[in-house]
Amino acid sequence: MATQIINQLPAPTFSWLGVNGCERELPDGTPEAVAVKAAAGEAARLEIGRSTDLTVQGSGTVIAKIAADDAVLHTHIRAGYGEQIRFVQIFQNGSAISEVTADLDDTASLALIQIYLNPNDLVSGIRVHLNGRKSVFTSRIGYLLDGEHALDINLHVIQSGKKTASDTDVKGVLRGHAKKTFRGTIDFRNGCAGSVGAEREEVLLMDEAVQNQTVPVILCAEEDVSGTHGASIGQIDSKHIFYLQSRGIPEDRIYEMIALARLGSVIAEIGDAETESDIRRQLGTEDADA
Amino acid sequence: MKRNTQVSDIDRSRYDFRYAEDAADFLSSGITPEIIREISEEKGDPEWMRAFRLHALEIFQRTEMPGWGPPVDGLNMDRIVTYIRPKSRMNTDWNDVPENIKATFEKLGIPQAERESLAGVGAQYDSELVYHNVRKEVAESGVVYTDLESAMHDPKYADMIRTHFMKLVPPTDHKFAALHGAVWSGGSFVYVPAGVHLDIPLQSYFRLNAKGAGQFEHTLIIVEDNAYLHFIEGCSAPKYYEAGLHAGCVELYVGRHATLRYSTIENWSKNMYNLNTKRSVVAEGGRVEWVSGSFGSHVSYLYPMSILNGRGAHAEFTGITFAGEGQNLDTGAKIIHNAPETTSHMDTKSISKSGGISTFRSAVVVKENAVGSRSSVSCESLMLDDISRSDTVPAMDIRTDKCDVGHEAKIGRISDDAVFYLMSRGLDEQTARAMIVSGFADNVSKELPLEYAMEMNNLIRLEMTGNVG
Repeated sequence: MATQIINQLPAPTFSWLGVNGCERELPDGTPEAVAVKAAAGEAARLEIGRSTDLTVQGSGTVIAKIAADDAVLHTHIRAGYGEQIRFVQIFQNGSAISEVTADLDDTASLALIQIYLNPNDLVSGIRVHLNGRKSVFTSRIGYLLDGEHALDINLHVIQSGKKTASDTDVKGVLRGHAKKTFRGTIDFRNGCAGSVGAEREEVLLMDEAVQNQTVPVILCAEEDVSGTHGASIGQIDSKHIFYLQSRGIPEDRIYEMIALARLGSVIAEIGDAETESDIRRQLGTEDADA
Repeated sequence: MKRNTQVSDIDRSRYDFRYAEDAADFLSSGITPEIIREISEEKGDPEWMRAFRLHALEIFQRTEMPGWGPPVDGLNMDRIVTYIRPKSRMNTDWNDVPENIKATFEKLGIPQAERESLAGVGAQYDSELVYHNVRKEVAESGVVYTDLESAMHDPKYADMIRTHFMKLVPPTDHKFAALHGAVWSGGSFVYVPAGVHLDIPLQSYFRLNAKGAGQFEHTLIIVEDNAYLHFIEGCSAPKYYEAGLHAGCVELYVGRHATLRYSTIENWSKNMYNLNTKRSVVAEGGRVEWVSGSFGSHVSYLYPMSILNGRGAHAEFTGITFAGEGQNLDTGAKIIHNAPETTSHMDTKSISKSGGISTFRSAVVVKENAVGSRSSVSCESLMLDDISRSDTVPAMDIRTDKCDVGHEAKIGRISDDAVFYLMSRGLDEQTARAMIVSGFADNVSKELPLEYAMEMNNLIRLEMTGNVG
């Protein structure tokens, strides 16, 4: 196995913070090549259990459930002129290094939905190029992390085309001794006039030993753009707790409810009833959400 | 046709004058043990300081350049003169200061400011303080404001200096902290006794006149329990084509329930590499307030750090950065929450124009023991053309669940809606745009004493032309 620094921050910062990248051993082995042509109508479903090179094209929904150990997953998405792709990744137990790259042509759109259901050790890189005029990228990322588990996400959205739009919304819950790093970069390149980019992360910290690192970056080489990012990290607002306690719900239960509801809002973005139901069943919230 | 708002470069003519130096006053350029020993000899260091300098030099030689931030390739350390012998001893009367040095500070308005609005002034010219004075009533209250070298040799303060000097910023911190430890010269020592509230500020002004030289002043401030101090730091240099270096160091110790406000208007010339390190440690219930305007330098690395070590300690950072042609200004702040119920707030603005690069960089760290802490960060960037660059690189590292940390950032150009609204209220477009840009800098100017706010507003002189179609 070879050790590499991966998930590198596009604009490195203070070294002592240890957020400029993460070091991992890359497992040996030849990945399985899989090509998917997305189409309107029924979603294409994949169960991934080993190292895979996946390519996605066309217009439609692709849902990949990933439960693998020591796997390396490369996914390349190509959205041509006007194509609309919804790509869903559900990471379950196990450890993996995942990299999603995407290229979008004029007026193409990509909706990326990632759900992390307490993977042991997961490194997830996402690099999206909005090359085409009026291309659009939305991402909805939800994670629930517990125990000693670790998650490292590096999202880099490069906006080169004119009037491109990106919108990223990340919601997560950390418990136990879980450790999470989220790097999110909106990168406005010169020439992307009229573009907009937004990014938000809300992290709910539920135990005193959790570790959270958030690095929301905006790189801007164009005047005519609008970029925003925000982060909110901590506990549940005391006003919400007070209200729910006044309705007779014990505090422990309130935290559980809000944590699951937070993830539930990302699950609802999948747009596939069967998959959403599966995840809710795993989380034990099927009845509550029904 | 679309025409952009025109904001002129900062008018530096006020700062861009110089006097010839006598080459005999210069130590050799470069950084070697021999030069360090020579500096130490010139300054009459005690033995511990001589050993400290040589140790710092070893650290400097083995430490790599930072692997992030703006390039510093244009800085040839072998050509930088690290020490220039003073033409004058330190004086407490401007009439005793050599005429051309006195004229320099007169042009910069320092004696006038001292007469009108300051409790004390220190003035450094190249490597050494040439003037230091504090009002009689302030001295009588027990406040000490002197140059660091005098304090180091004064039996009353020598131990205090040895206990505190480069303990907050050790030479191992980074390459330029090590350089500072080896070649530091000049700077101020301030001691405010417990319970003393200094109503009017102290100011130190640092002027680098010599070509191809470095300035390495060290500022050490100790504010004891329940005391209050506002300290103002100003700096400038004339422009040369050869690179200059400023690698100063500021260490602030804020006692229990004490407050220290540290204001800086930095206006180095555009050939300067400003690689400065500032750090404070705050005890229980104490406050540190940084107010920072960064307008000059070719390259800047500047991130004042606040270490909140006592329960309920608080840090604030308010800053503005204006990056024009040929400038790459990397500024921001670092806050470490290291005790329960600590709070912090950062509010920064940056403007980029004419190819200038502005980067806001920050770190908020909430340690395991900082339960009940709160932090908020707000940064806004304004791009005035499409040949400039503006980046924001904030980082948050949170190690406890019982805290609240918020961050928000915004980047863009002058809002057409805001211009439209102001025009609908009867303003012409140029006035509306000027008002918006002026208002953008308001967070810093309202935190400065009036005369410094006016100076800052003069620095951002606006010239509006054309309109947006």
